[in-house]
Amino acid sequence: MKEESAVAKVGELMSALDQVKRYKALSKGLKQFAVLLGCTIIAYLLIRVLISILALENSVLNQPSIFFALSLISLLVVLGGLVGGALLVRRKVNSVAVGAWREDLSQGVPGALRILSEINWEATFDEISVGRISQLLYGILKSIAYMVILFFALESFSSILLIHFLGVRIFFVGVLWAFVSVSAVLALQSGDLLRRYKEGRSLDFLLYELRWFSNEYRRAESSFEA
Amino acid sequence: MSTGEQSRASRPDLYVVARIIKSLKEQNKMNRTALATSTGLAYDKLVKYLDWMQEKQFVRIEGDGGFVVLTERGLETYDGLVKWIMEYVGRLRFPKLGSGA
Repeated sequence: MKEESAVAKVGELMSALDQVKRYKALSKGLKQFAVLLGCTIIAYLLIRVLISILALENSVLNQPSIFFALSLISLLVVLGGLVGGALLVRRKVNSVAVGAWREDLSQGVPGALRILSEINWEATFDEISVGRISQLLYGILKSIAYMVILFFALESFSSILLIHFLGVRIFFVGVLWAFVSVSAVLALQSGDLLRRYKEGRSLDFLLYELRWFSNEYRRAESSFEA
Repeated sequence: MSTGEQSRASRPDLYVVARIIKSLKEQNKMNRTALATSTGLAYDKLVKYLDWMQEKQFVRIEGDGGFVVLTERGLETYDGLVKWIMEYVGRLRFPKLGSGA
């Protein structure tokens, strides 16, 4: 029973380290997510500029229904970038191979010792540190993307309403939409951002615990060899 | 090979030592060939480990058949390893982490 409990404890440790691997995968996907999002935002802005230039020469593009459809399509580009990027990150995180240690652990205490001796502590500490920042950055980037999309949507559709239907031009309306976008997204995403902050604290705590444990393990290993 | 690597290579592997002790614990005493089969070790590697373990008084060789017997000290060492895992891994507290994404 004592042996089984010891083996189960190592299993718990390894499950936590598997989780750390997922954070590492997230940090890898984060760069691609940021690039994809940046490219789609640039693509959106280029499309909008192109539409404006073409609208000067072609009056058909100035019709509200056509303008609405074009705005919607260009918005879908950014939305596609966000959804595609998020799916890419999720796929990377889910594709992490975990539980390879279970076979060793089935050998009991010797297997548990093998697992402990094969852990690369320094790499694990780096993974935790990078993962801690990445998961928070991912949340922030996603929130920024929501803000940008909401701002683009409000700005596009309000201009259709104001210019094409009411025939008025209100200056600095963009500032109002920027404020609305930031406030709305912060209100909706505050729970997610808070969860990510708490997760970062949990990873800090895990790092502290594992540093202590790795020191104790090295000490025990040296005393055994002596 | 650096001095550090050399000392690392000559270090006894805790996993192997524990496997030998576990097999002996389960079978009481075994000859070297049976022990090599049971632990999945190459015979010459097992002999090297047995020499080191004899030096540490974890095992002793008995009779003409060369039976390997676990000593009280060997058993205590194994129990000590189990106790160590329980004490140190058991003391670790794992925070609840999310899915990552």
